[in-house]
Amino acid sequence: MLTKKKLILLLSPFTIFFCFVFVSAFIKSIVTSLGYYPLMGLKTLTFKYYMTALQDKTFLTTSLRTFCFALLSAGLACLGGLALALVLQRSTGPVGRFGFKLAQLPVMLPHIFVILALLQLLSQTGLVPSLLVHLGWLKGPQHFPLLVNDPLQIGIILTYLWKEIPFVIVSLMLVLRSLDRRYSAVGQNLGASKLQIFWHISLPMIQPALLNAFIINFSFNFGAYEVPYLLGNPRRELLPVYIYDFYVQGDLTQMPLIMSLNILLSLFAVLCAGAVLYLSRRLPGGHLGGLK
Amino acid sequence: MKKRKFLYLGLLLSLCLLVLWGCGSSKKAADTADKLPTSYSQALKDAKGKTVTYYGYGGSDTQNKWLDEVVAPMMKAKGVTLKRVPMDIDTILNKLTNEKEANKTSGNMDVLWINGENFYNAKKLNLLDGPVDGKIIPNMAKYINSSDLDVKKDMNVAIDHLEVPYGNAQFVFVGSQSMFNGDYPTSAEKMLTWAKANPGKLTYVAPPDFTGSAFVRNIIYETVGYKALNDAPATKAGIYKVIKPSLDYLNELKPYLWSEGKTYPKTTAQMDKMFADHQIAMTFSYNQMYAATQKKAGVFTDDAQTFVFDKGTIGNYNYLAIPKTAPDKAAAVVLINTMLSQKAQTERLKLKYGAVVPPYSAAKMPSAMTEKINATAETDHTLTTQTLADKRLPEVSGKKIPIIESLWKEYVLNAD
Repeated sequence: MLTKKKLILLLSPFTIFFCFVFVSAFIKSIVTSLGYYPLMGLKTLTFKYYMTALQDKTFLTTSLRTFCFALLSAGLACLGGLALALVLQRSTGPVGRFGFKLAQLPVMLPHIFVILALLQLLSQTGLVPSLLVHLGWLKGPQHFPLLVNDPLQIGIILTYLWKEIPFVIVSLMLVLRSLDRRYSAVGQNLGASKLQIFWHISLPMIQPALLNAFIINFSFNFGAYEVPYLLGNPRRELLPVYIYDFYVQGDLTQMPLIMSLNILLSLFAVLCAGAVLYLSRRLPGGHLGGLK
Repeated sequence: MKKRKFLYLGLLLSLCLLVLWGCGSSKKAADTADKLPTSYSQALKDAKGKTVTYYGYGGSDTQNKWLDEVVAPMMKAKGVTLKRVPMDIDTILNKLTNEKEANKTSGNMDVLWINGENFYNAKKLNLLDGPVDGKIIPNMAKYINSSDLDVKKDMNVAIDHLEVPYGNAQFVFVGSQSMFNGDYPTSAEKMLTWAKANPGKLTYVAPPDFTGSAFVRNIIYETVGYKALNDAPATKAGIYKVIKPSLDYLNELKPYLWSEGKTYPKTTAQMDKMFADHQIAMTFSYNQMYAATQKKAGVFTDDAQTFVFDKGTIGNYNYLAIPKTAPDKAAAVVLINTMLSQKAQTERLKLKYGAVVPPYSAAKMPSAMTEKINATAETDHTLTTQTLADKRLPEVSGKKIPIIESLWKEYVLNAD
């Protein structure tokens, strides 16, 4: 039996190492963003890099775009995941169990796998358009709708949904399974409709888990680099790509500014997460705190 | 209560680690920095039995194979073990600057693959050791003229004997014979005319992709000339004034590009695939032998023909350097000389090792190598050494590249 003590002991080497690396890198970013960068002879602490960043129009529009985009894709994933989890929950028996197992698969596959699959299958030179052309359903690959690097960022959204819907399903299923079904039975007995049972009984109980999943999805979508880099449209650049491009241009004098952009990105993600958590606590069912 | 005990234990453990780490680094700092050998024979003697560590971009399989299968055994024969560490150059530079900030005199990189803007930074921060020249690298004296432009300047930054070239790159176009009917657009003007007659059949990788950015610079050379760009001040306003005609050209071309220029491929791999499927008529590369290597890999066919602009295309070199904190500089010198040797460079010309053209001066290139490159031109539709040398244009300062990229983004990509 794995006791709590043992678990802490087993996790401590990783945790210590991780905290050490992460915390020191984070502190260094903050210090650099405040203008202390002795390598380039910069030694005075100042907020001017933050001021510059907050006055940069491209940075602000890119941030807003990234925020809306992350909100939309995380929201879609949560809605889709919630619907599917409820369906799977209802179908007890082998189908439901199989569905649950199947949902765990995409959670384990890394994003880059999905990206490559999308590029190989759905880009205009991919397998699906070639197949359609061979079958005579399409005149040429250029008539296939653009699904990667497209202006609506469909490629990125597809990747996120593919990864995150199953993630929402898995985290909700664990909660749904442990729910006391007698609550719904009582509701039904008292004449509540299905919608009322869902809205007043099930939803408040799973709401903390759902919003937790939303926070994780949102933060990832807001800060992920490789997905928008490979599948994004160059005209509608997302924030992580914007910052990283800036970073690899290799102008060391810009380092404090780049680090302040980074800190702003992190700060923003943390603030959003905090706001959602606060909301979750305030909503009905919030006192359950994620249903331990 | 017990939980707290574990917490203390964890804290204690991390404290021990910290102290150990501190001891380790202070010990190293006490060592004096290794010095460059005075001659190659001295270097050979000192390097025996040592391990030399090479740090460089690890994303090219053919390059890795060349180091592992050709260079490593050659080093072994000299009694030196080669350790190859794949790492991106910005990470390498970060590591080196961190070492410098911590006042370490001995690190763990002996030889670096570096060029351009990164070299400019490394030089400015005084991270590289020198002089590394023909006096200690005999193969450099034997095959490379010290007056060659690319030996004196790397992207318009004076090299000052801090870098040794070890590979030659030049921008080339690869066009489809059937789609162009054998008449390739060898100037920006011809390219525009062809695009207007065949809309949707051309595209280029969006900068800041390395090769896409080079394409845009080539268009600038075509429309306003290398000299104008090189003389322009490295400011956004200064460069914009000079390259305005080039941006206009790219905007005129835009509606005739694939997807009407509303989107661009993001990687050269994507563009190659579109080219191989005849969705577009042209791709490009920084490797002169690209048509040959891709044909060998089964991606391109004999339909893929190499061409350059009549006015020439951009060329640059890959360089090696020794950091000041290199733990074993004698072994580093032996490695550089070995990588520059005729044997290693001849092997490197093979398609399986990436077919990289040696950085040798045209007059000093062994005739066997010239013949080999010209033979490939015959069978695999690349270009001869003479054509490449005649049509070679220098790079501008690395400082200007990000400025050009941001101007492209502002005035071409997001123009409407």
